[in-house]
Amino acid sequence: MSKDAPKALPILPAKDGRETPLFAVVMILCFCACLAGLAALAAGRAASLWTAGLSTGVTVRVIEPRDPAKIADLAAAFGALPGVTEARVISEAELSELLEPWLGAGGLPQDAPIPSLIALEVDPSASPSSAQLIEIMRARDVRGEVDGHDRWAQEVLTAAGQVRGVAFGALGVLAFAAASVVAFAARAGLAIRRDVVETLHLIGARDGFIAGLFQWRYLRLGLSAGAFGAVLALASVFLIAATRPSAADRDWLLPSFSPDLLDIAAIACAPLLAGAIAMLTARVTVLQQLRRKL
Amino acid sequence: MTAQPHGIVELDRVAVRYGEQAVFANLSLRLEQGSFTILTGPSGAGKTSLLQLLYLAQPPSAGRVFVLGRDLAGVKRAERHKLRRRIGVVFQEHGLLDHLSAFDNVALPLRAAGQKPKDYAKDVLDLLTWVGLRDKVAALAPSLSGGERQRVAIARAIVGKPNLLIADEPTGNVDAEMSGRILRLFQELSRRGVTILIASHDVNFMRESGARIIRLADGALTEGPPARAMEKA
Repeated sequence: MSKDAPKALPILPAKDGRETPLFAVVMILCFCACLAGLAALAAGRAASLWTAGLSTGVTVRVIEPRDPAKIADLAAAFGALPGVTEARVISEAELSELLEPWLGAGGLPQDAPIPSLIALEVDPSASPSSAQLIEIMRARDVRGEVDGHDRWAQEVLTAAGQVRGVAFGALGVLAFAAASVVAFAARAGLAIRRDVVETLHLIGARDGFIAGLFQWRYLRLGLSAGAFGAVLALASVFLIAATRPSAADRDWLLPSFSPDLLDIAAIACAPLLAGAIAMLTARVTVLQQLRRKL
Repeated sequence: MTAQPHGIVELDRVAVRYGEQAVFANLSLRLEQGSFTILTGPSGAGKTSLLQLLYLAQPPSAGRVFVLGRDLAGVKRAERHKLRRRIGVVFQEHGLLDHLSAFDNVALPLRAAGQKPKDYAKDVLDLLTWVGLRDKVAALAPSLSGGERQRVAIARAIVGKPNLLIADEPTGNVDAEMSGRILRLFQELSRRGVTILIASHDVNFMRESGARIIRLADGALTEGPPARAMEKA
């Protein structure tokens, strides 16, 4: 190359202040999308947390008789059922411990009508039905109730699924909004740069060449704005995790807010998605506009 | 180059209409290779519309347009850029990109065709020297005078070595001296075999050019007097 030739300038101006609002909007949309994605992942984690253990446990409350031998016989009958891995009578000491938060220290009053409990551990894939357990009690002339946790687990799973669905729905809406904003901006950018497009078109540039100029520009914009949004979202989550009061005793209820590798990977995908959406929308928009010309 | 059956340019009973309003109709014209033609006529007669037909900026409302031997109606969209690269255009408002230097503006058609700076730098510098702008290679377009912008536009139009050069009022905003310099550039190109069609109102330019004069008025094309005759008139 001749040393007298100046350095080639980009065909589209390197910087355009008119794109700053677009950068901000894509960044905010990406931030919201990251939070929605994290909420969806957290809902999944919460569902696992809430249902862990529940689905393998069944409690039988024996109302009468309160004869320990009969209750032990009943527990043995339950233990012999296929799918039951353990059947154990909850001792009075364990019951007192369980009720201590409500009744205070000192144990149960002797005359309190506290039912006896039999805890069953079952194989979730082959657990006996509540009806089977009630039938066994009836055969032994025992009155009681079966508290199968699988019912609660199903409700919890349904609720968690709904939360996850809403979060993914929000994610979809945000992605659509981002694509629409970028498409609008690409059209506006094309209108602003009509001089470049017209000139290139008439001097023999292929449509793909012109669309390429805009597509790479919007890819860079989407990537950088998306990265800013993702970093903000990650920082927000770390901030929540750092400032959340210690809740060791409630860990069974609330999922961890500390982002794990899956969360970080999901957030890392957000700028790539934002860039891809921006690039594709810009390309399609420019090609559509060029096709309207001769 | 072999003779084209339809000349370099041929209009066959062409019409241009905008809505219900006809700019012109039933217009025919033929330009041979290496010819130098000036299209004149009153403002609003349709000179720019006629030129736009030739550089594929708009289709005719009726009739057939042949450019460089191709019937434009049969040119697929994907092929149009190839044809456009063989046509140099000097737009009425120059069409320079303000954020680019004179060098980059001239190099634009070559960049759009995929050439690398090391391949085109010498040609572009030579061309800028030829149009007398060697010292303005790095100047941004807005910093150039009207005449300089015009010469950059001409350099850009011919950098791709076109077979047909179309210019719309190339001396519209320049003084007589610059008009003379631009005319000499066109005459030199014509001598090199480039077919030239210029829309102009500039009587001096026409008088000096020695070109074929055609006049578009009231929707019809008429052959004007030879330029030398105008001198005597």
